[in-house]
Amino acid sequence: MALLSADAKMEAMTAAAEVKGRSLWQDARRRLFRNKAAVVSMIILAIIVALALAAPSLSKHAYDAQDYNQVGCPPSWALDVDKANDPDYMDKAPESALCAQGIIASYEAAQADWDLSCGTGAVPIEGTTCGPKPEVDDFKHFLGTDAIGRDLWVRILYGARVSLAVGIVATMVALLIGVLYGATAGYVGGRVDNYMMRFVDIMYALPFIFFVIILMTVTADVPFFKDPFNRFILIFAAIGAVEWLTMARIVRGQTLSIRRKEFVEAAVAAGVSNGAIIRRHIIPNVIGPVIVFVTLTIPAIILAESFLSFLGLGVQEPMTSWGVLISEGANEMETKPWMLVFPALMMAVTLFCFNFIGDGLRDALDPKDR
Amino acid sequence: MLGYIVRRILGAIPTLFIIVAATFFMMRLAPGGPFDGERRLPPEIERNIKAAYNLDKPVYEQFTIYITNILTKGDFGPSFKNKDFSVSELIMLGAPVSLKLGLLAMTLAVIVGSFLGVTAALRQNTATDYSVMSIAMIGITIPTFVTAPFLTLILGVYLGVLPVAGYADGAWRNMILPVVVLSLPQIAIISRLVRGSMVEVLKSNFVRTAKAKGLTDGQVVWRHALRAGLLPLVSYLGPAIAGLVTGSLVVEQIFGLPGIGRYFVQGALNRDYTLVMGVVILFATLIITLNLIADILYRVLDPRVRLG
Repeated sequence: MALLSADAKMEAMTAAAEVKGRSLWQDARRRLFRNKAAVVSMIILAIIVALALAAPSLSKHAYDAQDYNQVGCPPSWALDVDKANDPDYMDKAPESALCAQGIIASYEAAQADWDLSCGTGAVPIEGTTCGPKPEVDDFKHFLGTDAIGRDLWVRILYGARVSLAVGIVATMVALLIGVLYGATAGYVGGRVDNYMMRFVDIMYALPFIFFVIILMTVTADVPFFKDPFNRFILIFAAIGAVEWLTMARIVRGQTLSIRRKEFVEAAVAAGVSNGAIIRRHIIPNVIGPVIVFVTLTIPAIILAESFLSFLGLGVQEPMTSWGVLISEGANEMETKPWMLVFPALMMAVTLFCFNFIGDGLRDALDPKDR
Repeated sequence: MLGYIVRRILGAIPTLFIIVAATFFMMRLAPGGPFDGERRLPPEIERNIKAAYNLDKPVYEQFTIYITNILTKGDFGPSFKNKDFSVSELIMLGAPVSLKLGLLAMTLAVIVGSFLGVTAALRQNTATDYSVMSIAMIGITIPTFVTAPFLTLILGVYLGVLPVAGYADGAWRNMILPVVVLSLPQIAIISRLVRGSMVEVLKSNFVRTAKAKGLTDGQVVWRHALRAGLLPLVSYLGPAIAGLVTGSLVVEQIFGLPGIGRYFVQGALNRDYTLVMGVVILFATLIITLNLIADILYRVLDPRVRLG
């Protein structure tokens, strides 16, 4: 009987806590939406994510297709296609003129192909359907091409997919390990806590990028990790596995203070198991600072991945990421500045957005900090 | 005080040992070695090479030999890829370059960062404050490997006022860009840090007392507020060094400076295990030592912190 009533009490208490929690969240949401920088950042970020997700259908060019007529060409809007064969244009800007001629050449070649297999009098090959007749615009490259003639805009979008995916998945890895580790250390306390946090301190003593670099180096020859996809997963795991340290510290600190609160005492008195207390009482209550930290970890991880890719240890060709693109751009910046400017701009904007949202969330969730 | 220092040093030794051991075993247990080329070597030559580098012995024995050599002779072994060079020789070659770069960047970051931070705090919530903080945000979000090529493109290529890359035996014109690029993120972080602590300090009682007894604004700031306001900078020293070390990997690579960071990246790419090990040990020691010094300094400078 006594147990039952205790259970009922607990239920009532959790229900009460939930009601209070919800109003806190509503409050936070209102404060967040009043923060203009954060709102604008959320909108821009949503657009970037949507572009990345829709990347395959946004352009006629494939991310790994080379256009041999347009190698290292500037953005198409900087070219004057109508004057491609104008000798004046050739005199003034020979490279642009050549690129404009490249567009025409690609177009004419594709048109000839189309005429041959789909045009009037052609015998259609069985099982194939003919698409619409190619147009000049189909061969323009919105942000130019890279040093081997691949469309930069599409590569930036595909790079966004990789960079964002790494950022989000690695953060989730860090979140999972960090929250469980930190909550356990903080809740169990005593000697266990001491040893667990000592381990974190040791890991902290090294700039984490070293561990990741060593890991990427030693796995370079393992056949399993030669597969681009597996290597990709390894990057997630490697970065996530080191980024959890700060998360664990934050969660532990929060847990230590929450553990002494009455409702936890009540749960202990009611005979709730340790695991259940951590899951149902501790974790929901530390979630605020964790969310803030997550939004600030994603850009940190995107940066870390770019850093690795920049050094040549990240994702492998033909896959790409912002770090790879920036690295390629930096090598060609003297003659092809667009290869550096656009990927760098895209990454900078994304990082800004995450940071503004993180700051906004911190202000929203912790009003006494303002 | 002495007890505290001894305890901290004793605590640092196992940390360092674990880092060294973890790195060593990670590198040795991975399949494929530095001598697996495109062409397989004849077995007897491979055996000889392995014997020369002690690679034929069991891993734990290699580890013991390695540690003993470091402790007794300061010898980090031969570089696997740079023939005729020992790791110590390579590190000695690179150290002056990296040290110069790091010290200059650190000095610049501390001076500019604290100046910006203090200025912003003194003019809190004015246009100056907001612009300093926006610049700091840019410095934090935009990574070194973007600022480096951009500044090179503008100053080196378009305006042609500074050399694009190269060390040129440490000519000052060649050092400007690398130092500035390396210090930018640190300037940003330091100015945010200093602004935050100065804002707190300016609200505190002792500053009010100083004002009440009729000191000028300048005296209040220089004699009283700055001392307390710059304290967090001391505890940031450790992380700052770690940041500079990470940054130097990229900066040395981009500007072609022959420093330790470049050796590390090259070593990692070529899988020159001994070189990578040597650099990791060096950097770990450096960071742990500087963290220790920063902690001790903090306790010396701040009377509020009692030695625990």
